[in-house]
Amino acid sequence: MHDTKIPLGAFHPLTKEPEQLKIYVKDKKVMDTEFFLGYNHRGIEKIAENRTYDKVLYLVERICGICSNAHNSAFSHAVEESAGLEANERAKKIRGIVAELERIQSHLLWLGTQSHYLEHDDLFKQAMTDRETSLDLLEKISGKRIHYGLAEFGGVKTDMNKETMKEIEKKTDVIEENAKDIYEEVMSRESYVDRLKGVAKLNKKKARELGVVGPVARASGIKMDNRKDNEYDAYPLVDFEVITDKKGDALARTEVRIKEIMESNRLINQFLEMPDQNPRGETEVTLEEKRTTAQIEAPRGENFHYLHAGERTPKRLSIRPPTYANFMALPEMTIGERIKNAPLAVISIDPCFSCADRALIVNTETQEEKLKDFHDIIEKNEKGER
Amino acid sequence: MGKSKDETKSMKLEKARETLKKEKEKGSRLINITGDERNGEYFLVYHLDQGEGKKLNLEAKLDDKKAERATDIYENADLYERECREMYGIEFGEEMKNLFLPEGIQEPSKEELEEGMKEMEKGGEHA
Repeated sequence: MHDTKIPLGAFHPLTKEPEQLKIYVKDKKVMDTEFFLGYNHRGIEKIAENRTYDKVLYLVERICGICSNAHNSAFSHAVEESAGLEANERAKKIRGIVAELERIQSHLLWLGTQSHYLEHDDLFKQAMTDRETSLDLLEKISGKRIHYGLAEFGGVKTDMNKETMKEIEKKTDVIEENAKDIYEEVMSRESYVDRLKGVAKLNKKKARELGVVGPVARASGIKMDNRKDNEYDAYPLVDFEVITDKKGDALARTEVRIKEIMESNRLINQFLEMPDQNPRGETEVTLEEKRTTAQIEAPRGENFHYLHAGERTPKRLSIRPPTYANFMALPEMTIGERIKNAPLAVISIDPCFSCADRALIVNTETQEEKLKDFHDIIEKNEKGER
Repeated sequence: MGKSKDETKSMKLEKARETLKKEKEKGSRLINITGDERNGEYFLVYHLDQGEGKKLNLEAKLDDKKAERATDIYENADLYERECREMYGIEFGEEMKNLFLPEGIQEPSKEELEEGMKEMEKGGEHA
C-alpha cells in the first residue's frame, strides 16, 4: 500500500513546537499522513475551573507565546458578555493596537521560518529584524514582550502616552515599508515563488467543508474575518480591507499574510487617534450562571472561547484555537503532493501546537476503500482539478 | 461582544441532528463542539456560525453520556467529537483514537480529576 514511512519531528526546525508527523509515501507521492501531538498538553481548560476569573485571564494567555493576547482578549470578551461590561473607546483602541502588533510579529515569525526553510536566509533575517521592532513596541506598551497581560474586564490594564504613540506610528510605518519590500522581493524570486506555486492546494469549496479559518481560508477565496464579521472592539470604527486570494495554494497564503502586515499598520495608525479617557476596567467580577461565547481574529485565524460561567470560577471553559480548525485541511493539502512539499504544506497553515495540541490521525492501512478515495484525489491533482 | 448575536437552543439529540442538517443546507459553519455538564446532566453544544455575526449554540442533552457522530453532516466534526470522547467521556458508538493522551489511558472520572486538582493545589506527587 505504501512503500515508505517517513517521520517528521517530534522536534524539527521547521515547526517551532513539538509534534510528530508520519508521512506514508509511494512513488515519491504522499499517500497518507498521521499526526501525533499532545506533547504540549497542559490541561489548561480543566485548571481554569479552579481559578477565579481574574486569574484565568493570565492562565489562558499562557496557552501560546505567539498569540497570547488573542486568548486573553477572547476570554475577557466572553466574561464581559456574561457580566454586561463594555470597554470604552480608548481601551478598545489600545486592545486593537496590541492585537495588530501581535498579528505583525506572528506573521513575520512565520515568514522568517518559511524563508529559512526555503533557504532565503536574507529574508529570514529581515523578517526577524522587523519582528524585533514589533516586540519592542509591545514591550513599550505593556512592559512585556510575550505575555502582555493587557485586558481587564471592560477595559485594559495599561494606558499609553503621546511619546509611545509617536514611536508606534514611526516604527510601524517602517515595518510596513519593509513588508512592501519583502513582498516585492518574494514575488520577484523565481526560486521562492516556484517552490510555493500550486503546492498544498485547497479549493474554496473544500475549505468551506473543512471549516478552515484565518489566512488559510482567506487564501482559498473565503472572505471571512471576525474583525469585520463580528465587529468587536474598535474594528467597526476604522476602515480596513479583508485580504483574500483565489489561488488557494502555499503562495496565496504567503501573499495574504504579507499583505495583512501592511493592513495591520493601516489599522494601528487609525487606532492611534483615540479620545482622552480612563481605559481601566474591572479586575474582579462575580457572575451569574450563564453560557457565553467569544470569537476573536487571532493572527492564525478565528479563536473561539466558550464560557459556562459559575459565580467566581468558570464551570466550563472550552477553547477552539485556529490551528485546531486548520488541521482538518492538512490531509487534503498533502495527499497526492510530492514528498518534498509535505513540510511546506504544514508550514503554510502556520501551525501553533501549543494552542491546538491535539492529534489528527488519518490511517489507510486497513481501509482500502478510503485509499481508493485518495487515489481519486491524486488523479484529480494530476489533472489539475484541485 | 460586538454585533455578534448569540442564540442558544436546547433540544434532544435527534432534533439537534435535524437542525444541524438544516443549518448545513443554509450554509452555516460548524465552529466547535463542546462537551458540557449541568447538574449532573451531560450536553453536547454545537456552535454554529450562521454568517453576518449570528451564532447558534445547539445544546443537545445526552442520555447516559451517549451521542451520535455528526461527521456525516459536518466533516470537521471529527476532531471536536474525538476531543469530547477523550476529555468528557462521551461515547459516540464507535471506536475513536485519542487526541491528547497516549492510547491506553482511560478517561478519568470527574471525581478523579477533582482529586488530582486538589493534589496539584497542595503541590503533592502529581503536581
